[in-house]
Amino acid sequence: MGKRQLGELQPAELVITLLISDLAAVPMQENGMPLLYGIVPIMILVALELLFSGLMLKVALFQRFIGGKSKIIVDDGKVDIKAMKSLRMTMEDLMESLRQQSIFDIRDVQYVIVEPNGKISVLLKPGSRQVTCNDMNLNIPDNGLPMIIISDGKLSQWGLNVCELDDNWLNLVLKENSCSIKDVFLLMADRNRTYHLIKKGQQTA
Amino acid sequence: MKRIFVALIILLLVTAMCGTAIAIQTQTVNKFSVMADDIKEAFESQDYEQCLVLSESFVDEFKAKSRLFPLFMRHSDITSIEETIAALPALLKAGDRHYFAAELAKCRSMLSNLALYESPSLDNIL
Repeated sequence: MGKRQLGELQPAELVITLLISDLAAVPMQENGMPLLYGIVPIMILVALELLFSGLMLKVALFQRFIGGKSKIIVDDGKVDIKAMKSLRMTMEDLMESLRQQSIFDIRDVQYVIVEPNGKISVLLKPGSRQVTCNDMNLNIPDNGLPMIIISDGKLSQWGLNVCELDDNWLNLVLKENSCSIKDVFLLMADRNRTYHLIKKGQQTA
Repeated sequence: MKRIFVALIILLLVTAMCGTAIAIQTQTVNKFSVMADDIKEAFESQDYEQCLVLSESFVDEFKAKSRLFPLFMRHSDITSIEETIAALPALLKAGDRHYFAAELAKCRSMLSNLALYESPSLDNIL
């Protein structure tokens, strides 16, 4: 299952997770039951889950069969009532899901897709979409990933490496701010050497 | 591909584990059944001394050989058979032969059931 959260699980994965927790509880609750009564079915379920997820990566048909497929319920601005009925979804459910994505007017929506995990993906009509830098022909500098360099007086060498910075830069920053590593509550920086430093005792951004 | 291999290895492990458990159980229960048959034979030929010796060795043998049973069998099933077997020598010593015969028959029936408890048959699955 990897690092996915409960809400992101496929239906089959959710069922297997519930079954495993239930099976693990049985031999623990009953003293007279051998542990193998729990271990064997759990091992079989884990093996099947691994087998299925492996096959789902390899065979597209298997992925569709086990994981289900996405369904379009608003197609080019038109609500597909038949598709919604097949998903047992009402207009109220649809509006609730849209509101959770900060969309309050269905007329702004061009496509709504219900994913196999039950979540919806929305594409707004071109006129309702947020303006991007590309739309405005703006050239924004790429600062890379901002990383934590010092957190609560502890230096992160990994953060320095990701931002392609070195100890000389760090010493310079500390000198500029007249403090040592131990005095720093938070130091964040990016590849362009832009940084934000908060000293201990002034822990507000 | 790694996942599929891991899954297959786990399935093989489970199969091996279950196979071993069934083999141990069948082998041991067969041995017990033979012992119970010997006791019955001795009892029917009215050789009560031999019957007592066999019953006592049956109790010891069951205790020694059934140590692995709790790993894959319900503890209550094993305990009920053990209790029946343990009573056999005492019944003979007390001279209660009718009760002994009944308990021996009960014991043989329990052993034949024990052989079927963990077998992967359709009856057990359903």
